[in-house]
Amino acid sequence: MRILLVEDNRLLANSLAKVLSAAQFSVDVMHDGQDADHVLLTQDYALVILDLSLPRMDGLEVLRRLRSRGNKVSVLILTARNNVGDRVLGLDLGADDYLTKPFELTELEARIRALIRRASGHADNRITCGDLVYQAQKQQFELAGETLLLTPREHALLEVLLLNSGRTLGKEALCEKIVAMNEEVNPEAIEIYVHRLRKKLQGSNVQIVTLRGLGYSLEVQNAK
Amino acid sequence: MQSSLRLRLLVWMLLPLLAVASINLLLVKRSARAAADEAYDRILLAAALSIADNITIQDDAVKVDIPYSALEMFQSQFPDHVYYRISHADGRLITGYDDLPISHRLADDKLGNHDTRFYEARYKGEIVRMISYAKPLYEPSGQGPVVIQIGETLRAREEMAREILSESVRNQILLVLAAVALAVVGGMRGLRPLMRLAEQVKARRADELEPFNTTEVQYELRPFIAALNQHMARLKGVFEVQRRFIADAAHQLRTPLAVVHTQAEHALRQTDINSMREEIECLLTSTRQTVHLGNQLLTLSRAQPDAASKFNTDMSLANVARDATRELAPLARKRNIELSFECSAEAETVIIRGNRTLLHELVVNLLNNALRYTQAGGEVTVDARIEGNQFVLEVQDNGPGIPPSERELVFDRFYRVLGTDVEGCGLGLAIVREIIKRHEGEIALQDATKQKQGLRVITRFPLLEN
Repeated sequence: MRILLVEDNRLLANSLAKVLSAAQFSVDVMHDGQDADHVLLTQDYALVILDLSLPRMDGLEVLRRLRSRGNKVSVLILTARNNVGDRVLGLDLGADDYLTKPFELTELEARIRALIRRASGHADNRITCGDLVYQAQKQQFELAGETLLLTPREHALLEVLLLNSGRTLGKEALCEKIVAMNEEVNPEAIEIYVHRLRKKLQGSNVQIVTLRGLGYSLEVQNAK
Repeated sequence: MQSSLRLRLLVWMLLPLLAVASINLLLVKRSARAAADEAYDRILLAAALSIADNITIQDDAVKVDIPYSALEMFQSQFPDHVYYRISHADGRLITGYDDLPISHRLADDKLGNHDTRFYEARYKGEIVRMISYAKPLYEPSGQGPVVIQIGETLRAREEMAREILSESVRNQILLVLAAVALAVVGGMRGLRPLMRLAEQVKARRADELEPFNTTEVQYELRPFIAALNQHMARLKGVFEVQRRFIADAAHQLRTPLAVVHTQAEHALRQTDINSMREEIECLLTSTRQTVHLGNQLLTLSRAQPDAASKFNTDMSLANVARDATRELAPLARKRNIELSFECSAEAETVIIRGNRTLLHELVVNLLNNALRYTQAGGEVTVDARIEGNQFVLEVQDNGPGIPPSERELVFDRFYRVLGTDVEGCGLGLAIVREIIKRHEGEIALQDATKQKQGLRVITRFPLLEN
């Protein structure tokens, strides 16, 4: 898997390149926007990690030119500019994700994996949370190896919770996301489905936590 | 016209001047004709008197001998016609043009002895200025006075009036031109203090913010100088705040960087891979703290009075607070603290005006404190409600609380309560206070009311008036 890393800070570029190589990626490093623009004309990459403040050509300009050529390679913007305007502009120009410096390496790795997975069309996609595994291809949940039998609405709710595991979602947000999956449910009914799902998840290390006034979140219970 | 003061001054001087000049010309035009009439009427009268002197009675008949001198008076470069008619009081012609008109008014109003009347009449297609003079005849025959009429066409009079008028026009044009010239020069001189002031402002160094002396300048410029001085005073305050902030920030960043540096050096000296790993773990914790400090400093700088941040977004503060609380739910779960959010129906719909990012940051900072200082198994509640015309956002925990003696101090930058082993940079509440200030809100620290111990942070925001 080839990754192009465009970062003008050589210290950061070198250590990132080392980390990514260790994770079995083959990494090309460019230190300015014009070089990056040139190499993107001829080379194919699975992912471009792009800094915004670059010498000779701004990162946003590199991105704009890339997209105007119809190149659909995944782009992860990496920048110290933490303002909403830049973020929106970057995503508008066709960036796939955005990470603000300084960042945790684990976060960067997770984003890279997600982007590459998305680009490869969820081919062999498994999402796990503790004992709970979602087989995207089969559209099936497994709990500790056993297939979990769910009604379509329970399925949709659990899928939303799993995709957002660790985050707390309110009833309204849950309903919106479920509607987006072509299942209909009203906020009052959410409690009922949560109750049913809890029963089905009983005995595993995965649980749906209620935070009063805030909503629900799917969590792995650590062995105490 | 908006762009040049001088032009404005000039135009506002010239317009009234031109108006006055034209009124004056109208008046002159009238009086010029009157002056010409006066001059030429005198000639008419002299001619009439001279004819009257030569009227005699011979054999009971009136004899008129028109003297040459009388007609000579009318000679000028203008071909004016002169007509005369001498008649009896009853209108019978003695000599002259019989059809020379007598004015209507004159016909009724009997001309007494020595009476003179001037009038205008139309004769042979032209306007003529006429005089009628009654010459008494002291004569036994008892014949009434003889009426002498002389008429003269108007060319000479009109020419004279025209000359007077054109002379006046010439003079006024000269006068207006002189006024313009004086206004231009005067305007330039009048504006010179303004130019001088501009030069002074231009010549200043960027950091030279001492006020200008208001007593040295003209009275009209004083409000301008005062405004300029006020602006500079504000700038000075802003610069001072910024300077202090940068100094503080640099100083505060040096400490964690020194720690990182020492830890890295120490790690390098380890020969055992496991102890090196341990040192690097510590190093990582330190860098995380430094990153946190950097982020907090950035937030604080955005909440500064001089920051470019905008405070005009209308939003539901309840939603902002709920989102921020959700964001911190993982930290609460990790620390096994029960986090809950309560919001009255009223507070749910109310709109607050301000800066969303900063208000979000405010809630995050309050919760961060509550979650980090509260022991595992504790409780943290966020409560949003309306009290009077204020939105009240309250964060309550059952942690150790803050002793009353320290409740003012914790808002100071970089102040840390002694005796806690919780990591922090001492900016959280300083940021909170700054954000509250920028939203014209209030903040108070109290003892918890829900539990035996803990802290209750109450923030209040003014509601947006509809």
